[in-house]
Amino acid sequence: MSMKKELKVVGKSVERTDARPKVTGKARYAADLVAPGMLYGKLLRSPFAHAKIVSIDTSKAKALPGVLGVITGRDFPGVPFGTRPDTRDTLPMPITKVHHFGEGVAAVAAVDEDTAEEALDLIKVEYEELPVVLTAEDALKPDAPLVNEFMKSNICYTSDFLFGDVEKGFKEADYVREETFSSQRVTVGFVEPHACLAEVDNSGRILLQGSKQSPYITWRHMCRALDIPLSDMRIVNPFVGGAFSGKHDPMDVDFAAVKLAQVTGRPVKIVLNYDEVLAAYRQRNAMNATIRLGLKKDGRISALYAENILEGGPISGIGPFNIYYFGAFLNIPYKIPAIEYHGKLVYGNRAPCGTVRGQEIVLAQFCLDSILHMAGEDLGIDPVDIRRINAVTDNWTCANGIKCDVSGLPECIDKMAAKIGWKESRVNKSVGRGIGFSCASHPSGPRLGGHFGSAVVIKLMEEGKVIVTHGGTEIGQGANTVFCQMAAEELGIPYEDVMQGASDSDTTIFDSGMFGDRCTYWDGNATIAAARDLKKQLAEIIAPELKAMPEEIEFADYRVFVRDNPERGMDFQRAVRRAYYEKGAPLYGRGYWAATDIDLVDWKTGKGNLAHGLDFIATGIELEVDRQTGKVSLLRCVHGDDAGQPINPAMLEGQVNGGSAHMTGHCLWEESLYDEKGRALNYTWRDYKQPTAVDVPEYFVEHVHTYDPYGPFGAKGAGEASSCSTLAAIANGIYDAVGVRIKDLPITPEKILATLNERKRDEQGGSTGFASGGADEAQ
Amino acid sequence: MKRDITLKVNGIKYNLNIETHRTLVEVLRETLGLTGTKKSCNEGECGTCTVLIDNKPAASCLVLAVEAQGREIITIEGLAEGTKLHPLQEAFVKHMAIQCGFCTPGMVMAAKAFLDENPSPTAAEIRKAISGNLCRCTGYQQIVDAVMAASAALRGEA
Ligand code: FES
Ligand code: FES
Repeated sequence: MSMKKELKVVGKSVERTDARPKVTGKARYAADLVAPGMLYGKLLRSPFAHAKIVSIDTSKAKALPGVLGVITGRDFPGVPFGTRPDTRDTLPMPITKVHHFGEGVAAVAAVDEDTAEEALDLIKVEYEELPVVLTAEDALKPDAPLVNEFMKSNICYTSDFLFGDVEKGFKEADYVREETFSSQRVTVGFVEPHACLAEVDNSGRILLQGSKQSPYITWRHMCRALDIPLSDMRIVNPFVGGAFSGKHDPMDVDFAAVKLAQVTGRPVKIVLNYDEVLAAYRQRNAMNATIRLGLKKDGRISALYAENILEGGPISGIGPFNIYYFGAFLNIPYKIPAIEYHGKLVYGNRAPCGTVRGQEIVLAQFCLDSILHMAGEDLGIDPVDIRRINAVTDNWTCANGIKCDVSGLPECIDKMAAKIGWKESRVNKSVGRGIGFSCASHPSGPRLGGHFGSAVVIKLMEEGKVIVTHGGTEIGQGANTVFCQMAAEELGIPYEDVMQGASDSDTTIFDSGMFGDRCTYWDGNATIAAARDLKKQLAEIIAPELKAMPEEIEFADYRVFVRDNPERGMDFQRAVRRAYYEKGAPLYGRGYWAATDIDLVDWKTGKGNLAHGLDFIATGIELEVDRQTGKVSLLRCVHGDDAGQPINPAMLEGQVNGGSAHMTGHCLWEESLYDEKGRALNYTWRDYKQPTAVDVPEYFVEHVHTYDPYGPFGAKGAGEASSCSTLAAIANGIYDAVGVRIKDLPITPEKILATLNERKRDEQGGSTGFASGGADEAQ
Repeated sequence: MKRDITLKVNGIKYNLNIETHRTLVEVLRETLGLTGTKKSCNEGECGTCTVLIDNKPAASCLVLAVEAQGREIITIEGLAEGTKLHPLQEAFVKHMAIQCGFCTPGMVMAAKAFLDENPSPTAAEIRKAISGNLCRCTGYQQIVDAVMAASAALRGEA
């Protein structure tokens, strides 16, 4: 887009637009909102994972003083929604049966929370228990009960592809290795529980203010399931307390609040307690994967074969995309000439999935970088070198058609390895210490179906300040700040003169969502387009006075001037006043961006260039394993990160560190547990531990500046790659430390200890049943 | 059962008539409109509801409002003086220790209590002090850096 020139605001770690309201407690999140006459809503939850709803008697609850409304799934039109036309499998609230433990079956609105709570106890639901499907294996049994009533099978979605000559690749390989990997259910873990406030105005129009990651997705799905046109619903975004892909879809909370507001004619707020979130809301799909990798003697990968079954709960959500994504991102960050993939997403009776930070690339990369480490060891190639040998470089087209324009990966690897002290660590390797590596790549926002563009409006006020209103959502990632930076840069005005507008569907064209490292890139380009549109309008007004053509007018350093004669100009504010006071012209810049030149990939067959702006990361983690207890202590973590031109380096570091820290829990101990009937077991934070400040390593980010040809100011999306590179880095680090290879997440102390003890027994028994490196393998 | 109590929050006294089972976080947020204090788990595990009671950090979801009578309660709203931020708040802003911000008020209050006790901490001590406060966004590094920087500022070294 724009040519490289000296940057004034972009590339600087300016203060976040939302830092002060957040640090003073003034920022209002959904749970903080109040409205006159507001009622409090609560949901009654299913004690069963799978059961027929025989009847629901709400009469006693309705009769309780202070209760103004009680609803069930039958109060909705019965129209299912879903990400794709062929995956419409989700109702606002269940009608004929419940699909997972904690599913909301009825909801009440009352004058206060206590009364609402009391009313829930008065609702009588008669269930008839059904057999449950918990794992992928269960789901695929020939006599398995059907999980989703809108689908004819437990196979929710499949993705199969074959690119390049896989057979030849394996035939020509000097070394082939096959391994299986699996992963557990983990919660998404944003700290703010789901919450929303719904109101209905005189005309019946709905206003929903909720903790939503991608209000456009919520809006579309809700209007479909409520059977109303989009124009009958307005969405306003309050501050959002984290989302990580767990707040895309509308939840029963949102539907219930809207329906109760319609039924009672009063505003209704529903705020969940966190135990409800842990029991019944979004988690990461459980993986069951087999990977076969063929390599040449020199370490180059010649072919890859992969199978994967994801179990994702009773509804599809964005899951179909993720079964494709798993395979798609096995194609990168390493050069793999031939690849075959067979993926299945299956239904089950655990909590619904979809995806989590880093999407299913997180799991794919765990498999790929683990097996690469094993292969490298067997071939006698250093783990840094084997990544360097295979790393994607500039202008690389992957077997599946993904095109990488610019890759800083080789440099990321070098910088990371130097900073973590890999070479030095080999000289005097201390017992129980190890370093592990992984790389990853992530696109800057894939193209999905439907409305997929991003739009920005910049309003120029007569005082010369501007308001940037965009269709993205600030969920903590810093979107608002980077767009304000870009607007300031493009308009040549100070960052302080740029304000952030409200995110409101009446004034903002919502974009298709905040996912996949999309917003900096897409909305960023839209911001530049809007700023240019604004400059064009102002230039047309000012040019005659400056005796120049509008095309000759430049904006920089708070001035408007003639490009070849900078003396001829005026300050920005004066130019704006000219427009307002002499022409009566209000100035609104309007811009949009959509990567129409990339492919709308068919997720079933996987061919195509799905995104621009592949960002890259190389991660190294130094850790220590206690041989007595099996406990892993993470010491230091270095990320070499290529996000193109960083827009706000300090904010970028926070994204990189945060994604990585998130996955430490996923790798080592987090797990949503269920009993044999599918009832959640550990749904409080007392029993489900997320990483705290003492659990995570010290983080270092080495920026590798590249320039993406399509990105705003050369930027790429950023933030999610570190989630993708962390699992394997830890797993490889544990192997390096104590020679224990665990391929079944989480890598708990018990699993490590079991392998160490087994080895001890073998040693004592005089057996030499393990490889030369002292390596053991455990499922 | 309702009771008349007087709560002193951020230096202001409030006469209230409240149900005895209501927790401090509920009264702060719903009765006094001090929504800066957050609530997530309601069981003392996440730290988002951390306030200071007589200068000690407390999970306000575990304290009944009636128990807080006669004590000095400070919430996030009571830290800045007008538009002048407390050095800890300044440091959080400067070091990008804030992303979604949902953990921030509790984190800042926990850090405040800690620095009052230990003005010259090590990074490891800071990590321990905030280990009762969950943050899913940041990875904690910039929060630790911010608290470290604030401690220097409060000692007059920055
Ligand atoms: S809400 Fe009080 S500690 Fe979580
Ligand atoms: S900044 Fe989001 S939870 Fe800490």
